[in-house]
Amino acid sequence: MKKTLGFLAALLLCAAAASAGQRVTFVPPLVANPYWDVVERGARLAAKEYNVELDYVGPTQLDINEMMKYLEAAIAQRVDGIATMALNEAALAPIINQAVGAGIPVILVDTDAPKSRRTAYAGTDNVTAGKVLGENLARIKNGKAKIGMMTGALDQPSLNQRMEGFRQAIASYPDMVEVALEGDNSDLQICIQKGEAMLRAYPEIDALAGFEGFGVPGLSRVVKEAGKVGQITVVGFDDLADTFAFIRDGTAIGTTVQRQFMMGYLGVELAVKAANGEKLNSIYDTGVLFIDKSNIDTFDPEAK
Amino acid sequence: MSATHPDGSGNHGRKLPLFYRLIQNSSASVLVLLVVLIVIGRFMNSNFLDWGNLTSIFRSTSFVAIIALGMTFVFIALELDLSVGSVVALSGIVVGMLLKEGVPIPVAFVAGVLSGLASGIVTGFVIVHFNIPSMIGSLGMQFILRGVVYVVTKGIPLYPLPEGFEELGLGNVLGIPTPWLIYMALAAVFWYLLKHTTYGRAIYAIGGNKDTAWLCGLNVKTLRMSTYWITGALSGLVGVLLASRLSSAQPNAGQTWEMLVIASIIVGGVSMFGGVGTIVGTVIGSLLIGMLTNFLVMIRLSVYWQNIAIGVIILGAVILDQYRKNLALRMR
Repeated sequence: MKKTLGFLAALLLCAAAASAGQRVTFVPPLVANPYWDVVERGARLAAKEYNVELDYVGPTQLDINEMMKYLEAAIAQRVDGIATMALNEAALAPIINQAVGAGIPVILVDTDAPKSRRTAYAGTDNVTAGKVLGENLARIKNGKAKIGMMTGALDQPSLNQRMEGFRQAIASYPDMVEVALEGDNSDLQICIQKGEAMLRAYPEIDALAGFEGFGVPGLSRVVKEAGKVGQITVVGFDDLADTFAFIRDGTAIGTTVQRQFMMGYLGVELAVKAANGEKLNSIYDTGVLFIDKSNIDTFDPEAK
Repeated sequence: MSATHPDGSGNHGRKLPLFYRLIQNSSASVLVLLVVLIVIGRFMNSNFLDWGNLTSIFRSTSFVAIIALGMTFVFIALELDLSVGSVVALSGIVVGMLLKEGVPIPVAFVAGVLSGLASGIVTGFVIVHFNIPSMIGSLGMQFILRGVVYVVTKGIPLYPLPEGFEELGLGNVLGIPTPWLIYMALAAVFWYLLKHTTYGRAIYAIGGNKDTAWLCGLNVKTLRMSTYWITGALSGLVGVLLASRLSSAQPNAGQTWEMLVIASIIVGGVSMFGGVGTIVGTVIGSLLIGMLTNFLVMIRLSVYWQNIAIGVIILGAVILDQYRKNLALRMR
């Protein structure tokens, strides 16, 4: 009897502690990943500013089932808000709807699921980001290029959307031609291996576009090692340290960055606002930037 | 029982017709397939056999191939090591962190290899001492070591590394990629170790039948563990070479490499059931698997078809080898 009472008391204490501050669960598709680490820093800043408890939890390899487990756990714990990324709209929509139905606002970042009942979306869609890269490459090459493309895993929606936008952009330039497409599974070593082979198999290539984070570092190494700096234009996405180093030394021309720090920040901020009954817009555009030598020194990835 | 050598080359001393000897040789079928692929590659793209492309293949093949040398010992002893890819990442991070602290390159190099050896010692100890299935034991280590890498790096690559370090993985000696030269030297050492030393014979013996080997007075436990020491140290070395080649230490380095390593040695004629395999076969199998990435791009096969092609080639190699074995049995 004493034990039971003690247990009940402990339970009450827990409940009291939980109700004291608000809790937000953030489920990224990947933890321990350079891109999502910046998202996490944004989320943590917002959590600090709004004084909410943040659980930032997710799988270390892309796995939709793992993501769903984290989301289900958050719903079961009745957190005050959820922020996540719609890795796969069809698979995640039911669970998003379940959360919203239970009164928990769901903020999507990076990748939207417009057909779900999600509360709001913060990000730049990847199609737009792809268009920005395509337009910039056309500008740099004066509308004339034979392009070798390097994506990551063939089934990754965000990369396919980036390529879709890129192709839409270059379609309006008759002399911008996609010569080859390869995939590196987001592995720097394979990116270099395939990049080397690509330049030999398609010697007409005069521009290389990387669609996942290792594209610029990998393809820049290929161009540098082949002694073709200046002859082949390297562009891509994201902001790894060596991506910036290769832009600074002139091997790569530029990279497209989606301001993921802002996505993380908004993910938490909007969840809190929605939990407190504020009315939100449906979409918050975080913008997309093309970074080259001209603006690399003023670029601050953690600017709000 | 005929006096068949465990490596499959039977009938010592007798001079036999070339075709007969080819059929009896466990590396023959994969060699034939390798030659066929090279001919196709050359036919589809005249640049395929250029020295530049060959060095590219050699350099990128060395990494998985070095680990495959060790995995040959592991498989012959009827063990399994799934932790190799994580060891590659771990040792890369170890060497990267030390270099960033200003430690001299040779010291960091040795520390990287030793971190691999230490991982192998732990893996071997866990599997043999607690007598757990090697698949589960090494899978657990795969998770733990990759986890350590993620905890330490938070997933962010270590970059830049000091000038001069990239020379090891990126450099050439007499026009030949340094990692390939290291691989060739190691292949010679492990060929000798497996084929011509008591230790090598003991590895075959415990893979053939552990109980018999124990009754014959072999220290089975230590021998079993020693195979993990080899894969550990070699994976550690590869981690250092790869970090040098990429001039950065990547937390996701070596992910899923265990499958490439296993494919290389099985295609090269190493048995899943222990006791059978050769270093020569492993070298040929590693070359075959290692050149596929380059080969498929060079023949300009659509990226969406490449996985199918890889699967077909691997299956083809193993089916061809099975056919050869059946033929060899009938010709006995």
